[in-house]
Amino acid sequence: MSMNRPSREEILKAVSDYLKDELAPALTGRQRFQALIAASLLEIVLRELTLDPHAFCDPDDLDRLLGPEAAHGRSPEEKETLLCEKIRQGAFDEGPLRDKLFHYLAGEVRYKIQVDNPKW
Amino acid sequence: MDLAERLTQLIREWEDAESVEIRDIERVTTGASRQTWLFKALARKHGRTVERPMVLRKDPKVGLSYSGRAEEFAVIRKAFEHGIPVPRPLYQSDDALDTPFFIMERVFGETYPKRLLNDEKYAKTRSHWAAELGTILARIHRIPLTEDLGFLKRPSALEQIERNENIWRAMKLNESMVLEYSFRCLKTHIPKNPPTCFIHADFRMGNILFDESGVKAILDWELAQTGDPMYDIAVICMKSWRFDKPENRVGGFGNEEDFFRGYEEGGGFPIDRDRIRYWEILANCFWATVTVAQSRYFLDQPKGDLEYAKLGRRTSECEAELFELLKQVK
Repeated sequence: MSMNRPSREEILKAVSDYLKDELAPALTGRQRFQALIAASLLEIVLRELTLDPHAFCDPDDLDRLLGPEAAHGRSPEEKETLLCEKIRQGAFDEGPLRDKLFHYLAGEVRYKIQVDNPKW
Repeated sequence: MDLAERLTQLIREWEDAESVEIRDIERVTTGASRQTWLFKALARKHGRTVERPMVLRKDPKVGLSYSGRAEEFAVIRKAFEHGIPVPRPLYQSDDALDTPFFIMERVFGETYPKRLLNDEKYAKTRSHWAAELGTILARIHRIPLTEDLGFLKRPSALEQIERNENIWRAMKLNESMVLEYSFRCLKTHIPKNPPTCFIHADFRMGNILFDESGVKAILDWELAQTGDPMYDIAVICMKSWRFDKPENRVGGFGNEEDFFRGYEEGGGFPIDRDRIRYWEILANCFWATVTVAQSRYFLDQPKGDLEYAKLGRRTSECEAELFELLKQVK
């Protein structure tokens, strides 16, 4: 089932543009500031809907970092928690494992910043 | 009794004045941790009226503070005595108002980073700021750790890391592998016997007041403690405090060469880039924790302030910067 147009992305873009280009210039002080923040928050949501995280990191890499046995049957969140524990214990301090982890983190960090603040 | 009336009374006592009048009192919204009020005090003494612009810094009724106002006041007085540009400290009390506070003479100028980095009126002197601040920082680091500063916290590197890590663990709303790796890296790379001195510990844009002629005052001494002098340099070089001018590594306005030259001329400690990067990692972890706290604040309010939502999503900036720094660690 698909929704009728406009799509959620189109709606978000229109509302964000309205806040930024029409409402904010008509306001002053704190209200103007809030309108601009509101627009920028909608833009974050829009980018989160549009950008594909899998284009930045391969979810299978997470399994490879944990090992197939440890990864089996766990949700993505549980896998991250487990990986954090291993980082804390020093499993990725150096060598090829560090390189593999950094390869995954590079994608994750780039995805998050592309969503939250692409100008960074 | 309202604040103005109470201040009238207090300043009359402190100044031993015949009469005091408080004018133009207003609260400024800067930072959530302290209340800041601006006013003018006209004191009549020996038949003469002297007008002084003042600033009141006061604790909020609830909220955590790294140090007390009496300690911060003592630190500012010490800096003032050593010729560091700070507002002249005037009065301090823990109980004359409902919460602890101190009062300083107001220094006029600008602290708002985006105006400082972009306005035409600062264009002439902006290129001198890096060297000027380097020299000032060197003089801060030369403040002798005398007995009267015995109250300063003297955390070891490990204590500083653990303090930040514990706050982050208590505060976090989701996992962050980058922060996890950062804390791990900090613990496995603790600098061996770095020099220790008096440090400001929050030496960044926003806490430095300028006017067209240059640096006028270093503000906000709440976090002052003893530590590795490279920590202060790390903080002013943090990407988060360069605002829309990330290409200028020092505060968004200057380059390292000028800053280091000023620091050296002021008699600062030997520059160590590895240690600067090390402390930049910790400072970014600290700032990441602050953004998570903002996010939590947003989620806890029935009608969360949108600004805090936006700040919450700025954690990604810290993670991106941390990752860049971690890649450079050997």
